[in-house]
Amino acid sequence: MEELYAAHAQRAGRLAYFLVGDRDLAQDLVQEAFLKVFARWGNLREPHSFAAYLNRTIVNLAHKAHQRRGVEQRYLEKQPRLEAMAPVRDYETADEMWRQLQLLPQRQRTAIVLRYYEDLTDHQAAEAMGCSQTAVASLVQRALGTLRKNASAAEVG
Amino acid sequence: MEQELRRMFEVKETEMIVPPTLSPELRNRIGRLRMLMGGLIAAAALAVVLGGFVGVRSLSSDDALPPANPDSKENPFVGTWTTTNVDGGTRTMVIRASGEDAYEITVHNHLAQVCSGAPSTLTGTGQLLGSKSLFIRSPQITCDDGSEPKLEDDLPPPEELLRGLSFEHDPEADILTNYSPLERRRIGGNDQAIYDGVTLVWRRAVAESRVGDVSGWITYGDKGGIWARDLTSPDDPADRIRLSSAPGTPIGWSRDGLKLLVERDMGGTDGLNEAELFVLSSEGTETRLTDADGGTGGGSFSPDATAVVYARTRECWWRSGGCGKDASSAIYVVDAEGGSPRVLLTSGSRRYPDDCGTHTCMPGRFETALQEPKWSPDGSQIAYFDGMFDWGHSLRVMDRDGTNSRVVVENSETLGGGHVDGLEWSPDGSQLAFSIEGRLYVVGVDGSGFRLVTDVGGRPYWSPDGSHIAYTRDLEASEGGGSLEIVRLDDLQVQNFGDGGSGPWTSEVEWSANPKAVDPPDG
Repeated sequence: MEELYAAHAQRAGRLAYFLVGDRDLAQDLVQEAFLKVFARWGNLREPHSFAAYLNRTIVNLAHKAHQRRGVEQRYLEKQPRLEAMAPVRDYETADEMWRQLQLLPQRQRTAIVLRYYEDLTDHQAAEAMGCSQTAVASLVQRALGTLRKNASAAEVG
Repeated sequence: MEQELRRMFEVKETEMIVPPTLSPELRNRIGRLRMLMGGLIAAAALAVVLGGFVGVRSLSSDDALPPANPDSKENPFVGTWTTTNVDGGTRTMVIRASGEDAYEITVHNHLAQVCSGAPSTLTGTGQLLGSKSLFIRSPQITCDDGSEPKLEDDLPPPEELLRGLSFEHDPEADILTNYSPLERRRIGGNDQAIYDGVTLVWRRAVAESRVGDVSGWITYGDKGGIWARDLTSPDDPADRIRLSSAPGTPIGWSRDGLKLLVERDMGGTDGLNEAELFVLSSEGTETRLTDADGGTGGGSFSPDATAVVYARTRECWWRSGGCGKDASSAIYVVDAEGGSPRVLLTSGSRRYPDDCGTHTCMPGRFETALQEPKWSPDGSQIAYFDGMFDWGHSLRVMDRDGTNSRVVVENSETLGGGHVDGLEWSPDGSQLAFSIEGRLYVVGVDGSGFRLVTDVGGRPYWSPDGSHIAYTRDLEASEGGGSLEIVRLDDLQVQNFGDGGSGPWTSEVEWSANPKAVDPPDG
């Protein structure tokens, strides 16, 4: 159990952080995810897809947290009104892209994080999200479209 | 864009640090949650989870189970009692102490009318009122065949009628009595149901009165070797026959009684059991059949004893990524005199169902493990388990050539989790018995009649006439763990035979008196 935790905790924590954008919330989610996983499946040996199972648990918990807390709404309330800001040509800092990521709808953000941070295939991401591969591909497309649009809006018109 | 996303993640990663080790608090929560879930799974299995009549006893997540009262001799209620029900059948009640002034009551073959004629089981927790009355709280009835208890519309539910159920002890006669309101009902004039009830008299089931005529021999292994024990004279050491001086676990007799299939633990890496199969013959010779990466996971003779079927799961099954392209678990057939095995069935991959009930579904496909292949008495089929060792069990039957596999039972709610321990066909080939983490189940080959026989029994073995099942009493049971117990199936009466444990049950053992001393195989 210790080994599994040591092997997966950091990555799980980052996944949770990227999905909910809030460090404290992410810490809670990770602890709860490990609690669920270890309590239910007590094998000391690693089952085949421990990481995938952990991913799926974190995705589910993040989704529930999002529904409960309206993360996007709160985030928007805290930030200056981004749409009124002059659009940037490119993402000059990681922070700016981070903000855009957190503004995406929950499932689009989840698809992006699973594909580009966890480097999962569409198939693996679909398993973690409980949806079809085509749904994942479509979510990724739409998210990338939004991110690109916000990055290069200066070029338009 | 993709590049930028990845770079952003790299930067942002550093902002999130998780504690590198499990905190003691989290560890405690995991422990308590596991115990709570373990108790729920066991209790749910005992009660055969139903719609409105779930007999689940919930364990407080903060309590450890109190130790059983060892002084049961002084407690007049504790023990096994029998009475005759109105239909003339025998009803058995087991009262166990589960702590100071706390009791667990289980009545087998209880009222049949609530289960449309199938036997029912009553469970409850009890407390003493004074010294002569045992008062049952929350009595619950479940149907042994898994159906839902039914009632006539004009009667209140059984729990209400049974509320306040109590047993009186008569110290002079050493009997219990209780009033059973549902015991007798009649429809009066104008279709009015009238129930008089009846007072039941329970007599103590004493150990000396043997439940039935159990005969034959139970074969078992211990540090001194492999033995056969005469059930008609179970306590006389002189009536045991030594079949081998090397330790091992016997798992099956050939039908002619001249060969014994034995597992020997050859040790292994990582604490995994590395059992290999041997055939012992009545002339005292021994043949090693397997030398399998990962050891064997159960097996049996063909009815004519010319072949042995067995399962093997490779070590790499346990690693993430599995064994790659090659099958990691399979069922093989090998000549009983040794030789090259041939593959009968390889494990498949299963997708965990979308609706996992109260569990969290695991994602993806899993390559399963195959265990405990057992040849049917008529030789036409092989039963086996397909699953994940301690969850996801699927009991299946296939034709002897490895085709046409079908599920007998794989309902994870009823089977529960835990390690599979044994699988055996009834002698007439109509039923299968198996144990999961001490819960001994019997089910018809067609999937019907699924029922729990005991919750403290491992590795079931049928008597030659199919009327009883022998098992080793669970080591986790409060008393008598590791001893041989035999349960009679029609009324679930149990006899305990003390030390020795259980094993294949045969009617006769014709063995040469002095088996050749066998050198433990290398390895």
